[in-house]
Amino acid sequence: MTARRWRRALTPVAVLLAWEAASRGGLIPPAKLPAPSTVLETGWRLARSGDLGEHLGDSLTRAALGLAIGGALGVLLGTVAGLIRLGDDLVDPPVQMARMLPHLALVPLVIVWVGIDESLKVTLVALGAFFPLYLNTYAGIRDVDERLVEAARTCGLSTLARVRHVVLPGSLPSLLLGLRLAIAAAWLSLVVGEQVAAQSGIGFMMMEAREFSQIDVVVLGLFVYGLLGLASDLILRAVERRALAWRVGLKAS
Amino acid sequence: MAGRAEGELIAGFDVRRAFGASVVLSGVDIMIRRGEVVALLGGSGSGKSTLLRALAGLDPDATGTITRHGRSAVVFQEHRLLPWKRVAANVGLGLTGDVPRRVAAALAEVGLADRERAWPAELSGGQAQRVAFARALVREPDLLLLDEPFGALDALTRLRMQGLFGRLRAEHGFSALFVTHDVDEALLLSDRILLLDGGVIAEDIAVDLDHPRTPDHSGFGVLRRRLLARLGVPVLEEIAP
Ligand SMILES: Nc1ncnc2c1ncn2[C@@H]1O[C@H](COP(=O)(O)OP(=O)(O)OP(=O)(O)O)[C@@H](O)[C@H]1O
Ligand SMILES: [Mg+2]
Repeated sequence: MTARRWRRALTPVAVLLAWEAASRGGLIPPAKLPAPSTVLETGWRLARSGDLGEHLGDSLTRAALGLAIGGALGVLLGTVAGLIRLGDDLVDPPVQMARMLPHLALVPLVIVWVGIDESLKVTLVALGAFFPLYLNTYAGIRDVDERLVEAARTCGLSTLARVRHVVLPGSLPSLLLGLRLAIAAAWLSLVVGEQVAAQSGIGFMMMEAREFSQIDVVVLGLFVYGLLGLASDLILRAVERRALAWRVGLKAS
Repeated sequence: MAGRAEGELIAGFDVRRAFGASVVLSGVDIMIRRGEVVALLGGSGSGKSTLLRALAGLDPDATGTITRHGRSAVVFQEHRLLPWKRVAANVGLGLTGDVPRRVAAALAEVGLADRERAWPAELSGGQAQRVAFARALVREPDLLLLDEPFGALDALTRLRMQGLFGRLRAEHGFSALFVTHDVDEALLLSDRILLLDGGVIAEDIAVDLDHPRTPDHSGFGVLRRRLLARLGVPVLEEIAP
C-alpha cells in the first residue's frame, strides 16, 4: 500500500526535475517559464512578506462564504424537491432550466446586479456551488431504494424517522459527490471572479504580476490553485472514508 | 372484540387490488388464527406478494376490510437491511426500552451473537437473512408475515433456515403467514396451505401431519401430488423402489 503510494509519486517528481533541468540548461527561457526552484523562492519571499498569506486568506474567505451560501441553498432546495411532491413541482423546473446556462456566462449580469466588489466573487462561487449540490442531493434522495423505506415502515418508523434513518443516509454518497463537484466549481468561479475585478486574492495577484511581467508570481499562483485543489480533495476523501465506512467491499481494494 | 375471542390475528375480507386494467386480487378472504402457521402458495405473478403487502398495511391502494390484532412483523424475500447501519442498529431499528439487551438476545437466537458490529455488506446472504429474522423477532410479534423468506438462499442454507424457523416457532409460538413457491417447504412448515389462483383463495388445505416432518412421511406424497397438480405442474407417478 505505502509502496504503491510512493510509486505514484514518481512521475510528478520526475516531471518537476526535468523541468528544473531544462530551465537551468537554457532549454526553457525564464521569461516564458521560470524554473520550479525560482517559483519556490518567490513563494518563500511573498510568504515571508505576508503578501501571499493575505491574498490566500481573501481567496479562501470568498470560497468558504460562497460555498456555504450556495451549498446550503442547494442542499436545502434539493432536499425539499426530493422529499416533497409540491416542492418538486415548484422548485425543480426553474432550477433545471437555469442549470443549462454556464453560470460564468452570468458575470456581466452579476456585475450589474451586485457591483464588482466582494459580493461579485461570493455570488459567482455560490452560483457555481449551488447547482451540483442541488442536483446530486435531489437525485440521491430520489434514488433511495423504496424497499428499504418500506422495511423501515414495518419496523414502526414514522415519516420523520424514515427520512432521518433511511432517506438522508441513503442519499449521502450522492450528496458527497455533489460537494466534490461544487468545490471544483467554486475554485473555477473564483479564478474568473478574481481576474475580472479584484483588489486582492490569488487571481488578482496573478493578474497584477502579469502586468509587471513577473512570470514567476503568475506560475506561483497556478501552484497555489493546484495545491488548494489537492488539499480539498484530500479532506473530502477523509470525510468520505468516515461517513461512508459502511460501503465495505464496494470499495476497490 | 369478536375476532379476539376466536383467537383471530388477522382477517382480510374482500381484498381487491388492480394495477391499471390488470386485476391481481379480486376479492380475497383470508384469516389467520393465533398459533397457526399458514403457507400461501401460488404461481408466479399470481399476486402473493401483493396480498402480503396489503395484509401488512403497506399498500394504500388495496381495498377491502383488513383487521389486525396484536403485533405483526414482516420478513421480505431480500433482507432489506439498511446498509449504513451496523447489524445491531438494524435489528434495534425503531425499538425503545432496553434495546441492547433485546437486540443481543435476538441475534443470539439466530446464531449471530458475535456479528453485532458488522456492516450488512460484510454478511453472507444467509447471515443477512438471519439478521432480518432477528429484526422481526425482536419485536415479539404475534404474527410474522414472510414473503419467500428463504427464496434467495442456496439449497443447503435454505434447509438450515427452515430448521431455524421451526425451532423459533416452537419457542415463541408466533403465528405466521408465509409466501412460498416451494410445495415441499409449505408441507414441511405449515399447518394450513392456501392456494392463490385467479385473484382469490382457490384452496384451503389443512396439513394434518405430525411434527417433525420429513418428505418421506406417509401423508406427504399425497398432499404433494395434489398441490402440484393444482398448480398445473404435471407429476409423474412415482415408481416404488
Ligand atoms: N407496482 C406494480 N405495478 C404494476 N404491476 C404490478 C406491480 N406490482 C405487481 N404487479 C403485477 O401484479 C401481479 C402480481 O404480482 P406479485 O408480485 O404479487 O406476484 P407474486 O405472486 O408475488 O409472484 P412471484 O411468485 O413471482 O413473486 C403481477 O402480474 C405483477 O406484474
Ligand atoms: Mg412475490
